[in-house]
Amino acid sequence: MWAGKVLGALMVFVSCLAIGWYTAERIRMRTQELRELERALLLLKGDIRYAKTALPEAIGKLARYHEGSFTEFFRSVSEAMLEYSGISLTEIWRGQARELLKKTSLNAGDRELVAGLGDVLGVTDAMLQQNTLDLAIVRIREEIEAASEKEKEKVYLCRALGVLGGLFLTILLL
Amino acid sequence: MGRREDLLKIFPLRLRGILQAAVRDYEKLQEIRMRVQAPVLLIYDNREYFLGKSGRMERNQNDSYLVSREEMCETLEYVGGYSLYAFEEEMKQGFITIAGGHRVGIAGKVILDGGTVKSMKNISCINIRLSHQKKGCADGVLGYLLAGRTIYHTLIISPPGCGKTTLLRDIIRQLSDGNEGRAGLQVGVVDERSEIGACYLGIPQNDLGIRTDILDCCPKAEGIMMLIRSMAPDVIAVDEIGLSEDIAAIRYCIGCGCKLIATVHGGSMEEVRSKPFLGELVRQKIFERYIVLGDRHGRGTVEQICDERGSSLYVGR
Repeated sequence: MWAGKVLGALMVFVSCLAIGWYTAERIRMRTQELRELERALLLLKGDIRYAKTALPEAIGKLARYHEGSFTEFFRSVSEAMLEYSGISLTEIWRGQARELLKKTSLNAGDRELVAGLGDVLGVTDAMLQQNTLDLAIVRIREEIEAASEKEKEKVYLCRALGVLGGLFLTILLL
Repeated sequence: MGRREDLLKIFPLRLRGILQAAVRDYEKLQEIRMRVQAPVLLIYDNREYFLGKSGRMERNQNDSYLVSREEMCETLEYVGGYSLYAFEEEMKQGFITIAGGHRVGIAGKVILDGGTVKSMKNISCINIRLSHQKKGCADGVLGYLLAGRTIYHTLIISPPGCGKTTLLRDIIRQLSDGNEGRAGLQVGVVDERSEIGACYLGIPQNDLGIRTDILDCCPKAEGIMMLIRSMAPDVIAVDEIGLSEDIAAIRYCIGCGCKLIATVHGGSMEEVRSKPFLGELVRQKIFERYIVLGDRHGRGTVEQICDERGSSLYVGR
């Protein structure tokens, strides 16, 4: 009887601990992924500005040379564009963003920022293209700054909440 | 990807299906003209047809397919490979070359910057001219251009639309490839308007031979100098010469021992002789062969071939 209770309490404690650690990890990963996204957009901007590389090729290059959380997204967008299946870039970009960015640690606001790029990429004016990417990069930097400032606190808080919540529930159930 | 697929992929899905059903032989299809809220026109086997909603080519416009503004925007998106900014320079000239070498002419509201064309917006007309390379069309003239192991400096004179670029393209291909009795030559092509090679992403869509180097979208004068310095060509080919800087580059090219093949708009040797800058080269007997084209027996009819003094070596009947 007691052995069962102890085992159950242990499981509750470990689960709470895992939830705390997982949430903390997602917070840490979000900052990392935002930095990754910033780097990718800077490379895309450079390709558009200096080489006037077409989007399917430029995005395909991002997928090929930069392993990370967005590799699958960039690859899928590039492949869908090269298929010329009669779907507009906005639809391709938004569709892939909706499907694949869920797997990352980005929050809903970040995901919408990336998805919104699909509405303005590919237009006639290279300058407008660069300005749009610049704006997105500035917003990502602001997010990185805000996230980094509180990252340590939040990670600590999540882990502590995991431990304390686990302890509280265990005591309560015992 | 085949010729048909290269062409069809630039259209929105619905129009793609209708065109697929309507056009049987793509070799006979010459032009597709689209205008917003107007019927799609097809030039097929030298005749004009309306594209019917039911997927047929019609002679009257009762059942013709009207292009919407959205379809025009979508077509443009696919023409530019989702990257119209990459074709900014081409759009200034009014056309984009797509895979397969087809040329998409565009017209809309022109945006000016300091009096020069910066870009174009609200595009409402698209004209797709299909590329038709005519291999072998230079067979009859090539013999007049060969001088031992090399060739004579040659000028092709032709009114617009009489096939001078088509002839130049085939001369380039044949000189570059060579044959059993004649070694191939290193040919450099300066293709200022992407008409000779019809490059798409830097790759010529027309066959210009195995020993041909091409500078795409490059001004002729700079291009000639660049090719001589970088690629050591035996022959340099350029289309539509005439500006003073072109003439200076031609003199430099000839001074370097390179042979030159060029084309110019004109109806006869006399007309070219009276041109401001080019006329001087003709009077100085720089060109050793002149090929005059016309359209008496269809596009690309060779009317006359002359030597440097203007004496006829061949006269068309």
